[in-house]
Amino acid sequence: MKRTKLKGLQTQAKQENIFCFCILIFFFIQWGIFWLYANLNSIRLAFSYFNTSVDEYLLLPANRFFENFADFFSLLITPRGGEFLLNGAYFHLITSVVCLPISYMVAFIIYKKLPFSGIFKVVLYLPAILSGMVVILLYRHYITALATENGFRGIFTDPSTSRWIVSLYVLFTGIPSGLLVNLGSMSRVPSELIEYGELEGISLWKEFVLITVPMIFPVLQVQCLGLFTGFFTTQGPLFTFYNRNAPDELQTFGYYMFMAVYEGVDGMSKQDMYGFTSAANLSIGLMSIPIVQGTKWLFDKFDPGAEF
Amino acid sequence: MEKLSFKSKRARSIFAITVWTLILTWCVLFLYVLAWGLMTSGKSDMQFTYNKLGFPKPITNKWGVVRDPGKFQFLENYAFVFESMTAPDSHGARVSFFPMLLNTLYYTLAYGLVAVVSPMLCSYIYAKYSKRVRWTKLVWVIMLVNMYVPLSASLAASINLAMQLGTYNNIFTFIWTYCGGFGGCFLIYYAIWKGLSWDYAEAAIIDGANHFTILFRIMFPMTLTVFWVLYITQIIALWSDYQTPMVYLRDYPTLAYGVFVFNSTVNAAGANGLDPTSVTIKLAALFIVATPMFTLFMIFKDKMMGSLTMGGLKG
Repeated sequence: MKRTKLKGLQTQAKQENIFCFCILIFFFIQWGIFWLYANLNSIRLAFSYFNTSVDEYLLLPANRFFENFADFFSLLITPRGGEFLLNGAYFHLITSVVCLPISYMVAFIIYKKLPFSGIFKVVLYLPAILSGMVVILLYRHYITALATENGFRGIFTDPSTSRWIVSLYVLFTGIPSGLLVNLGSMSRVPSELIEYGELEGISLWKEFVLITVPMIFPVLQVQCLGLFTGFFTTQGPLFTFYNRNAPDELQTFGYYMFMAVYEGVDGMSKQDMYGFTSAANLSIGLMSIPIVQGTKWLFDKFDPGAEF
Repeated sequence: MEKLSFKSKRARSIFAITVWTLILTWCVLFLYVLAWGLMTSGKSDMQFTYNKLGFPKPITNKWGVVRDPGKFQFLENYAFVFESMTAPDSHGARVSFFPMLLNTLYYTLAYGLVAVVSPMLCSYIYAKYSKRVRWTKLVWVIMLVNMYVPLSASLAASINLAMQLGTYNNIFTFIWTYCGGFGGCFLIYYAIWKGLSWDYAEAAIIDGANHFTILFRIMFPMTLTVFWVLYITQIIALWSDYQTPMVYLRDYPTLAYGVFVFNSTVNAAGANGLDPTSVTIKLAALFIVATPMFTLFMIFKDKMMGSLTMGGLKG
C-alpha cells in the first residue's frame, strides 16, 4: 500500500518535472540568446571594428583595443558632446523635475474624485492610446498652422523658437504621464488613515504631502532612480518631430546614438558606428551603477519609512 | 472612496482648485487640438491655405466667383489616403496601404499575443510549481538578473544579433524576440497566479487531468479578464510602434511607419487634384491610424482603466 503510494508520488513528481521542462525550455533558450548572448555580443562589439573587406566585425588590435571607448569620451569632452549632454539634461529634467510632481498632483485630484474626475481620467489617458507619434505630429501641424496664421514661419526650425516649442510639447505631454500607475498606488493607501485625517480636519494639500506622498514613496523612488542617467539616454521627441533633420542646437546624445545606428552620422556608415555605440552603451551602463546607487542612497535618506 | 464636490470645504482649497483648473485647461486644450485635427482632415487644401484654424467657409475671388464652396470633403481626403499612402521597403519599392494593414495586423495581433502568453507561462510555473520542482526557481533568478543587472544590449548589438540569427527583416521569425518570458507582464501575472487556489488543480488531478489540461482548461480561463486587458494594452502599444518596423523590419512597413513616412514627405507628386504633401491629407492619415485604437479603448476603457493597478490586476 505504502509502496504504491510512493510510486504514485514519484510518478506525479516526474510528470510535474516533464511539464515544467516542456514549458520552460523554450524560454530559457530564448533568454540565453536574446539577453545573455545579446549582452555578450554588445560587449564584443564595443571592442570591435567593421572590416569592409571581409564584411565582418573583428576585434580591434591590442594597441587600439579601447579605441571605441576613447572615441566616446573624446566626443563627450568636445563642445558638441557637451551640448548633447546639456540638451539631454534639459529635456530629461523637464520630464522628471517639472512634470513628475505635477503628474502626482494631477493623479491625486483624480483619485480624490473631484468633479469630472471620470472624464478627466479618460481624456488624460488618451495621448497614451493615440500614441506619441500621432500626438507629436498633430501638435506639430497645429502649432505650425497657428504660427503661420500669426505671421511666424519656420517655428520648429528657427533656433530662437524651436527649443521652446519642443519644450512646451514635452511639458504638456509630461503632465498626465504615469497616471494609471500613480492612481493605482494611491488607491492602496489605507482608507482608515485618510478618514482619521478628515476627522482631524486635514486639508487636501496636507493629505497629499503628509499622507499620500510618504505612503507611495517607494513608487516615487523607482520613478526617480534614472534621474541622472537619463542625461545620456534621453532621446526626447526629436526623431518624431524632425526625422533625421533635428536642429543641431536641440540634439541629445540619445538622438545622436539612434541616428548613428539607424543610418550613420558624421560621414560614417551605420556599420562603422556599431562599435562606437556599443562602447557608449557599455560606458553609460557602467557609469550609471554608482549614479543610480547614489540616487537610491539619497532617497533612502529621505524615505519616511511608511509601511502599510 | 466618496466623491468630493466643490461644496465641501476641503475641495475649495487653493491647491485643489489650482490643480483641478490645470487639469481642466489641459483637457480642453487637448480636445481642442484633437477636434481641430479632425476638422482639418476633412477640409480641402484651398480651405486650409486660406483658413487654417476655422470651419470651412465659401471662398470667392474678387469677381465673386466661388472658388471653393466651403464644404467638408472627408470622404475624398480619407479615400485619397487609402489610395496614395505608401512606405518604402529596403529596396526603395513602395508598399501600399493594404499590405501595410496586413503587416500591422500580423505585427500587433501575433507579436502582442506572444508578448503576453510568454510571461504568463513562466510566471505560472514559478507560482505553482517552484515549491515542488526546485529547479524552476531558476525562473526567479533570471527575473532578478533581468531587473537588476544594469546591462542592456545596445541597439547596434540587437540589430547585429538579428542579422546573425536571420530574423532581421523577417516579420515571421523576428517574433522570437518578443517571446521573452521574464519581462513585461511577468510580475502582474505572477500576482494573479499566486492569488488562485491550487485546490482546483488537485481536484482535477484526482479526476485524472494532466498538467497541460489543468493549465489551459482550468487555471487559464480563470484569468481571462486579465489576459484580455494585457493583450489589448499590448495591441495598442504595438499598433502605433513605428520604430521597430523601421529599424528591424524594413520590408514589412506597418501603418504607423507608413503614416510617419507620409507625414515626413515634403515633395511627393500630387494626384486626383489632391496633394499628399498637404496638411489636410497628412492629418487624415493620422486619424486613420489612430481611430481603430481609439475605438478599442473606448469600448474597453472601464475594464482597462479599472483593472490596472500598480501591484497587479484585479481579476
